[in-house]
Order: sequence, then C-alpha cells, then structure tokens
Amino acid sequence: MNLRTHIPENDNPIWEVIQKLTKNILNMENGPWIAGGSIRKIATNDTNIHNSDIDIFSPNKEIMEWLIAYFDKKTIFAQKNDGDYTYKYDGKFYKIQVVKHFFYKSVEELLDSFDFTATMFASDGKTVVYTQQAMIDAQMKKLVFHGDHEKCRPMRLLKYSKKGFLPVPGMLPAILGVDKPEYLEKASLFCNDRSKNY
Amino acid sequence: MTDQKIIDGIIDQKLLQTTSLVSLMSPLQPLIETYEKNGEKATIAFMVGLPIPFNIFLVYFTAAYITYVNSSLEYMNDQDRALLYKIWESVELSKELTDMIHISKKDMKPEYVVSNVIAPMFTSYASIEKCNEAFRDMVYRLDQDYTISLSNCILV
Repeated sequence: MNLRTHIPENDNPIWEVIQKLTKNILNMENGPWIAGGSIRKIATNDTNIHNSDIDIFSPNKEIMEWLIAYFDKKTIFAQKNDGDYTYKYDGKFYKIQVVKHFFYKSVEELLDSFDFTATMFASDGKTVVYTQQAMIDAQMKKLVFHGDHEKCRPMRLLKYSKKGFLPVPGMLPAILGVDKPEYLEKASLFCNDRSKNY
Repeated sequence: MTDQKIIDGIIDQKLLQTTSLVSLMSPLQPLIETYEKNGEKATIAFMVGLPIPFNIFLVYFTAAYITYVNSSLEYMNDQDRALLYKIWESVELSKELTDMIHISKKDMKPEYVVSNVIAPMFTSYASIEKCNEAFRDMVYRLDQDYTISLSNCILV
C-alpha cells in the first residue's frame, strides 16, 4: 500500500482535541492509531465536528486494555462508559472510542480493513497517512468500495449519505443486498476507472 | 456550491415542468437528475415531484430498508426533517400533487407532505419483502437513473 504523509497545519478543532488527548501514546509504526472519519476531516480540512467520533485502534489486546486503563484514570472526561469517552472542549463534545474487538499489525493492515476508500486515513497524532485514492474520493465525497463489498452494510450507506457522500453507480444494489453479478461487476468497474469524474 | 443553491437555481426553470412529468408518470417513481452549474454538480431526486438532494433521498430509502429488515429504526431524525423543510420552503407544489393529496395550498406544509406522501411511499417500499422482484426493480431503477444522470448532466 502506497501511503502519503501529511502534517496538518490547520486549526481544526478535532486535531486540537486529538493532540491534547493522545500526546505520546500513539505510534505510526506499531500502533495504537487513530483512524477513519475524524482523520479524514483533518486531512480534508473539514471543520464540521458533528458526528465525528475519534476511534482509536490497537495492535493487540494488551495495548487496548492499557489504553482503556489510561483513559479511565483521566479526570478530564465528561462521561466514561466501557471504552467510550466524552470529552468537552471549547464548549463542544467529542466522542472518543477505543475499538475493542479488532486488532491490527500495522497501519497498512488497519487501513486495508476499511470498507470505503474515503475512510482510509490514519494518524499518530503528529502526521496523517492516507492513500491517494482516499484523498480524491474524500474530497469528491464519493463512496467507493475498498476490497470485499461484503464488508458493507446498509447502515454504512445511511451513515455516509447523511454526511453528504454518494455511492458510485452499481453500489446501491450491492449494499442493499439485491445485487446480481452484473451490478457487482459494474461497481467494480467504477472503482477501477478513475478517469470518470463522478 | 451547495445542493440547496442548485435547487434554488433550478426551481423556476425546471421544477414545475418536472413535477408535472413525474406526477404523470407515477407518484411512487422518483426521477433522478444531475445538474451542473459553474463546473459543480448536484444530483437531485424528485420524489412525487419534490426535489431532494440524492444523498438525503438515500438516507430515506436506506433507512426505510433497514427499518423493514430490523423493525426498529426510525428513519428520519429531527435534523433530517429540518433539512427537508428548509429545502422545500420555496417550492411551489404542482397542481397534480396538490390534487393527489387533497389539501389546499395554504395548508400544504412540508410536514404534511412528509407524513402523508413521503412516509407512506417509503413504507410501501420497505414493506415489499426485501428481496422480491418489485423491490429489486426499484433499486435497479434508482441505480440506472442515477448512472444515466451522471452521464447526462443538465447545465443550469
């Protein structure tokens, strides 16, 4: 996986929160990492914090349990609930979640597990890494399958539609489970044909 | 440019014509068109003649589907409703639609349209068994309309 690196310079409030909460506990090479929608927003300079969970991913169960113990000791959270934390910053609330049931050996493996290309962003709190296609699709707000479409569920289409994303042609029948082989093929074609300006 | 601005721009020149067309075709069939203005595109679904950004249409449609499968989810929250109301504030409803839902224009508010036209329409989609041919056909029609609209943008 060919990853690009970006050092955020913007004053995105999500980035400020990440730096305040995770200073010196993340590591790009070995984990843990923050990844997904919150990092996408930082990379694309989207300052809309609504529905922006900060998800923390671990390389193994021991690190995950250490993270939960670490955050449990902190007195800065407005709420704590079994790995889910609510942090109030500058009058706004941020949800932080330690992902508990999936572990990844590397940042590449973590990004490769995501269902949509536009979500393939990760950070160690200092830099942001992403694929070139992730940035293109995120900026164009296009939903494109990454890998096996079986990972996608209707709830994911609902979630990203609410964020303003649109699926590529052929994806709707596939996600709603009424796909025939020709629709999967169609979705795959659009995934691979980057010349189409959709 | 937001979808709202595109919608504002097309209402005068396109909407009445399109609502008539859609209403005559079938009140249950959404029509999807992609508009382009100054190089920016907005995909709009026309539900019983009312314009709605395609991503919001997908929120309705997907949520209705999930509601049927799980029997548990309310498919619009207050924020979704507020967005629709804002979009429809300046929409002039067609005579066909007005006649169809039997209400005078002065009482025709978005919440009435949502509760009496839109919600039943999606309930009907969702109550069609998830994999029967009618539902499949609807999904394929949506996908086909969407695909064609992307390739045939309407300049406004």
